[in-house]
Amino acid sequence: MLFKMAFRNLRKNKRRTWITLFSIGFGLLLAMTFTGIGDSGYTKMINGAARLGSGHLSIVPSGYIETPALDKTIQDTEEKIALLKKYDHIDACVVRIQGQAMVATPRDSGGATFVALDPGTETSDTAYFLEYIKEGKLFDRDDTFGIVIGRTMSDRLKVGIGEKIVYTTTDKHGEITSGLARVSGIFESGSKEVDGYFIILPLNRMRDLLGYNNDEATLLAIFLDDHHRSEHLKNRLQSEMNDSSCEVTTWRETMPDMASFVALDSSMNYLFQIIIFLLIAAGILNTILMSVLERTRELGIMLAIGMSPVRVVGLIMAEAFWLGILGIVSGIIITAPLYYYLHIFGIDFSGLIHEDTDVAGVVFDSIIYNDLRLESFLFIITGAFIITLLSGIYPAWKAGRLAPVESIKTI
Amino acid sequence: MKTHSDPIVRLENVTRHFHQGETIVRAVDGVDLEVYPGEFTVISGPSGSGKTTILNLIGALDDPTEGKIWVEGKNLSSMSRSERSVFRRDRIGFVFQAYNLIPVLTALENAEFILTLQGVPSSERKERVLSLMKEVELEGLENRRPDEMSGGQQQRIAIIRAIISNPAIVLADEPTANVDTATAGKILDLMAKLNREKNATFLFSTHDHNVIERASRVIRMQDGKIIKNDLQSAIENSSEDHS
Ligand SMILES: Nc1ncnc2c1ncn2[C@@H]1O[C@H](COP(=O)(O)OP(=O)(O)OP(=O)(O)O)[C@@H](O)[C@H]1O
Ligand SMILES: [Mg+2]
Repeated sequence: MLFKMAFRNLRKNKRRTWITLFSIGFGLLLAMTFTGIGDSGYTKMINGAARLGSGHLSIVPSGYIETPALDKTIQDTEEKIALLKKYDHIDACVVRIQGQAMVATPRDSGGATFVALDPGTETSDTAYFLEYIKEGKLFDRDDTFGIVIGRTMSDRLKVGIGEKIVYTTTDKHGEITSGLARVSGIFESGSKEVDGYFIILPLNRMRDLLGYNNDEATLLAIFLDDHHRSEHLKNRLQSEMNDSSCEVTTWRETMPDMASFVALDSSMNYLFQIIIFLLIAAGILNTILMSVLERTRELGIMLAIGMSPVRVVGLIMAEAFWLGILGIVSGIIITAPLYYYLHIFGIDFSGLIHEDTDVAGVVFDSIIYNDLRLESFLFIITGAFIITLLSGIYPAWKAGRLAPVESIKTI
Repeated sequence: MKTHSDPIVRLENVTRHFHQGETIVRAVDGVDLEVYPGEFTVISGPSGSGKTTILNLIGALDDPTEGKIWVEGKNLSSMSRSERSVFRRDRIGFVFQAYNLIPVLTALENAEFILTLQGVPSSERKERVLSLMKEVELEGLENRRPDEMSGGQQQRIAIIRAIISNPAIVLADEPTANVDTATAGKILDLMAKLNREKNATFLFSTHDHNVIERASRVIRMQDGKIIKNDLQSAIENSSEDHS
């Protein structure tokens, strides 16, 4: 009966109800749009960071994160990869050697970060650079002299495709060692940092050069279907691998700059949403309070003829309940077309975003998409519902405490 | 007045003061009163004489400053807030001056409201209300909303709501004040019929002479005191019968 009466009360005051529903709906529109854009943007950047660096998760030698060095290695990489393939949600895992090197041509020289990878197992899904190769291509598996460098570096060293580069590093035993390579490809990601310092080398060639065996590397990079699973999977792997010589880290640890950017940006987003919801809560509270105050006599009569105060509170809470439910429905209806558009087509902000804007080497995508995660959606929906109910508490409490004698006098 | 049955309502030296700024208003001032089963009693008196106040006190909507009130032998001042709420629901029928009904409910839903609060099953509620509506010639109104009914129709639905759960007494505060004489007559007819046929006890206030004439007993109030407490001729078929 309470729900029926509450629903009819809302229907009786059509205009006010519509305005309230619209304001809840509009709040949901903002929340879902901004959260969805955030979800999509962060996912892109985090995936970019993972591909640029060491995967969503990486298995590294113990102590490698604090002080990376080429004499710290992991063994039995093939065995580990086979083990990892058994897990759900792991899209790919690849073996890498990462370290510092000097690169030199007859014209110039400089420092570089090398990523040694197996061209047979890697694609642009696991290696960021491969997506941006603008000239030439990635070396083949049997090409031990291949190297891929960035545009900025090729300009600085004044080398083109097919020309020679010498790279020098220290091997497993601390000895200086160097190799010769011919440029097979040049990438251009748009980030000066990435294009100026990263070089890609063949994995097996580096194993030889550094004195590693065929099953040895500095890093296993693991790519997940959803980066949100990183922490959970890290803990599982850590305990199930049961190998004290190596540790599992997430992208947060390997890419601390990216992690703090995402944390800061998403907390700004949260703050913004809390403000929006507080404004909406104030609006709902006002609506329900007004409707209680103008029904003083009616509520007084109900209390006088023996409706318990608890039920009167329930009646007003039932109105808040309906506002919440209908508000969510209207929010979804209002948001759906915009969401669809932003999800499929996105909005191109290339005019506003400076070309070389990047975070930790990962370039911003100038097209913004809305890709709301199910968890975020449910969170927003339940949040809006709870806030609506909370806004009903004060008016409901007031209605339950009305004094019948006084209330009946008012008309 | 003398009778052999126990009174439904008993007031003993009841006083209700209101503070209005510095002055104290004696809305009800030392009233003794008994109401017996089956009575059809009217409280009359000039405006401000304390009619509404006394009805509110009997209906446990208000507390006396002094004195005691018993309804069916129960002392009202001993009841908690929630006991009063249940007491009003189960033992008192209320009819107010106007706008008694809940706007979003139909006539049927309003009439059965108390039964709904009591948890009576819907089919039984409907049966009881519809048969009573039929008896008092209100059939056909059941799906109307209050704003689709005349003031008189609304008042009569309110009377059905008050009587439907067989309360100890129906308290009606100027139930005919907002309607014309002909409609007032109809409302009185309904109350009288329920009094006669269902032995329902009514205590109501009014200014209206036509209404006063039809009561079995008239209590006249002035300045919070009862100045006259007269049985009228109609008394023969009310209290005496049920001794
Ligand atoms: N809540 C209140 N606060 C202060 N004074 C009150 C209050 N309620 C009633 N009074 C005063 O008590 C007196 C009796 O009022 P009451 O309403 O009982 O009179 P009444 O006989 O019902 O009058 P009417 O015929 O106008 O309805 C009046 O003087 C009124 O002003
Ligand atoms: Mg009055």
